[in-house]
Amino acid sequence: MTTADALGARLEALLGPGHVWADTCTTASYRLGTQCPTIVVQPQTGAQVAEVLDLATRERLAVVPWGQGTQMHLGQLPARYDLALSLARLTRIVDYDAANLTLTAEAGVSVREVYRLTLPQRQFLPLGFPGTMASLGGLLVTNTSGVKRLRHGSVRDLLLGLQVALPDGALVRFGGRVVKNVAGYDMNKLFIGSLGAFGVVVETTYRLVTLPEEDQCLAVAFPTLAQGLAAASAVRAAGLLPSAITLLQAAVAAAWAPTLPLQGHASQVVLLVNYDGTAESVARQIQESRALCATHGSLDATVLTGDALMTWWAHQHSWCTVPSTEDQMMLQVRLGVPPARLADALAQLATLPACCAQESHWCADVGHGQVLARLPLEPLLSDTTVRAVQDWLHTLRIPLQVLQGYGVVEWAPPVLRQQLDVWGESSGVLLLQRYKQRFDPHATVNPGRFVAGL
Amino acid sequence: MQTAQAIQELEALVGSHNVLSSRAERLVYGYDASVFRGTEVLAVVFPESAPQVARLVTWCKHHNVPYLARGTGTGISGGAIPTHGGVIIELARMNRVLEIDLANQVAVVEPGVINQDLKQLLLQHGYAYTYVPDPGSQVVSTIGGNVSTNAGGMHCLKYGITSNHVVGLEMVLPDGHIVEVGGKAVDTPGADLTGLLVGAEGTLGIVTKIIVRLLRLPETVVTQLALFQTVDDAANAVSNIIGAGLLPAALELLDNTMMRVVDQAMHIGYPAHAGAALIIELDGFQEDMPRMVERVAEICTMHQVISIETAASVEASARVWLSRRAAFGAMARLATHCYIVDGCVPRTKLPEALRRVTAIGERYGLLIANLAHAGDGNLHPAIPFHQQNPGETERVLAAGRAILEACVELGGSITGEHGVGIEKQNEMPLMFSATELEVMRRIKLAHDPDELCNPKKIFPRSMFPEVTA
Repeated sequence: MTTADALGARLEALLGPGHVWADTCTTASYRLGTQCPTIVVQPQTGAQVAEVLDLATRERLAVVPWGQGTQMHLGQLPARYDLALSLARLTRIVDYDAANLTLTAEAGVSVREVYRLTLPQRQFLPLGFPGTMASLGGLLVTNTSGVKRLRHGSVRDLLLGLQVALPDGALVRFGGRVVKNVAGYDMNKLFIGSLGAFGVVVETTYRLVTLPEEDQCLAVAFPTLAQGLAAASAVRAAGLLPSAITLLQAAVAAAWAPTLPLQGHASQVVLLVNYDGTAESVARQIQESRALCATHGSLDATVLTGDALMTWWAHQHSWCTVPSTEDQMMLQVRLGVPPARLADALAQLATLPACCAQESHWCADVGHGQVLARLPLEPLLSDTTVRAVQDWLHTLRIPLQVLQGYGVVEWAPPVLRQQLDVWGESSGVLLLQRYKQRFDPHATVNPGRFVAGL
Repeated sequence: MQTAQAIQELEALVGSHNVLSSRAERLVYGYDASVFRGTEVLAVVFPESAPQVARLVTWCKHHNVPYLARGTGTGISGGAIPTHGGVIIELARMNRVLEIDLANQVAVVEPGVINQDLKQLLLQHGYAYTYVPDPGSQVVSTIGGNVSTNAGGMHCLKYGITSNHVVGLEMVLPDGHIVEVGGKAVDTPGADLTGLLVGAEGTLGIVTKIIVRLLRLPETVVTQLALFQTVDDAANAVSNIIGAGLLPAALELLDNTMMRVVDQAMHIGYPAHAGAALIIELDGFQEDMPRMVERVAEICTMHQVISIETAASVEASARVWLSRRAAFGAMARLATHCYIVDGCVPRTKLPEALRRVTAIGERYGLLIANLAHAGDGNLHPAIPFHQQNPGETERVLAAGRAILEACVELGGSITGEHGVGIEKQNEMPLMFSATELEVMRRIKLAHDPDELCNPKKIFPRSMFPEVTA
């Protein structure tokens, strides 16, 4: 029996037959870059996940956890890849407590499923995009907040508790189901944005929000970027309560919704401001924003609501999520700066690497100073391209750091990605290294994918 | 090493004007607002900068001397009590507001800035922004202290606790490194280290700078006082108000006992027959207020409310709030000490939790006056007692433990906002298994393997190796 067979047999003994695969067809579907795992496992419980990790650590195997697979492109490619750990079977709703507005569910549950469950109670979980297949655990470990973050909070604000399987086989719970809980260290936070570096989250408890009575998005076209930015700043300072403020290139807006009823072919950018709440307050805020935008030279405005609004968000979601074809020659970067310095971040996109085929496209979360940019690359990946992108990234990060910001590569073709510094510098690396040493000394989970090569 | 020499070296590090070493001064710093008392310390030092803190910490590490950071000592779980002597690093002189950045809606402060002072400064400038977290101690407590316990307050129902208002911080680690985590830009690469370090009760290092989030002042604020026949009615009304999708800015409950105590001290005029009072604060847009007020009134009526009055002026509103904010002070008229229990349950379990508190009071022969951040399910049974009476402290602590056990049984927590400190070390196993405590301890060991930084706090006392003094 080969080592792989022996390993497969041991995993089957742990998980039962029918939850372990070693055939090339299955393993190929869990490919990352050029690497495929030797074995794919699909545990049914958090306890089984812990057992798999325990075995992997003892055998010095590298494990890559998979949720719904919507963001596997994040981070660096794994340094080693032996086991794909699919959480697709961890889909139980453990406790939906509508009266207390909390939801406890296994990590494999999708946001779409959560919407299906909570909408009838007029509640929702403001993470990811409505209707996304992203898993609750995946959103947590990638720190993916929702479109309505500005008003309804981020992953950190909504997470109440979790259960996590550690590389040494422990299965532990931190936090709970109550909003106020300061017993011991706030361990939940260690796992937010960690890409599994310290353990695999198997169950989550989130706080829910009441569904607003009215939900509308004002879309306004501006002739220049400068005017759009000025209007966005004015809206931010206006004492209104937007749930989201997004600025994007008119060309991108047109690609998302060719039927967006906005006049003004001369427009360069579109500003979208989302308000939710009572009918009266939404109406008033839309009206005030409209007037504000007019004073900044807006060309035209329209209001998205209901299905049109959901469709818009669906487009935004699929644009921000990378293409499914891994050989697409594109670089997607996320720039983060203090919100007031958004213009500076956008200015960095003016100088692109020489290997860029056309101009870049971007979409900005004005409320949080985040820019998502897509740079199409030349079709053939050469050493020159690699060099050009490396240099560009390095140069880009200098002014961003001065602004107390950063730039991360969210997507690049695997061969290119391997040669890039995906994360850039990160404060707190010292602590992350120490925690990794104590939580995952043999680098069992996602080795090399996280910050600082952890 | 010789005490005199140690004092000399510390004075060289921060300046002799920043070191207190007389016996009286050192003894005084062995107290905080809790019922615990510390051992004698070597010195109290007042650093004025992060590099000075780093030098102090490095000195302590080199000489194997325990140390802890202190703000204004308002904590009641014993987080600032020096249980192992050593050096107290008092941050009161690091009290500058370094930056108010309205464009980014943040402020950067040193840890010694008093919570209320930041609010006052923003108000004085006429800014439309405020710093929201409002623990009961806000007039005296420091933001550094608030960060160390992840303090709550009356407005966290709607706006969140301290952790939701900290976007970055600077910390001196026990090995002398100065690290920065988080920042003005969100979602920095790496884990949410800022979130992990908030609430660490001074055991992972010393926070020397904090970037706090500022929030827009609400357009309209309405303060109401609702009187109910029973605590159950009030607590159920709270559940239903939130369940109905309304989110008041605050929902504070006082039971009959507490109302009587407050009334004696401040002559509010609470009717004797009311079982509970509920302070309701609603805030938001002007156009939303009438419907919100009406809906709240409807729900209160469904729970046999005796009366609801809306404060008609800013002064009237302040009076309503004074009756709540001065409650613990009013308790001081009953006995020399007052033990404030801090437990948390899911909101809908609050009526049951309060019933159990009453039963526990009877079982232990203790008077208990109840306050609660009702919207959060965070209860504060207040137990007046005389520390000098033999056995009374033990009885009170035992009753407190019984209350916490009840909270955990009901699906809650042993501490909603005051922290574990010394007070609840041995109650941690009510919530965490031995494995979970060991895992949590890995964070401590990653920061402070020598166990010198506010040593032997938080974790059950049985877990510690000996610290060599």
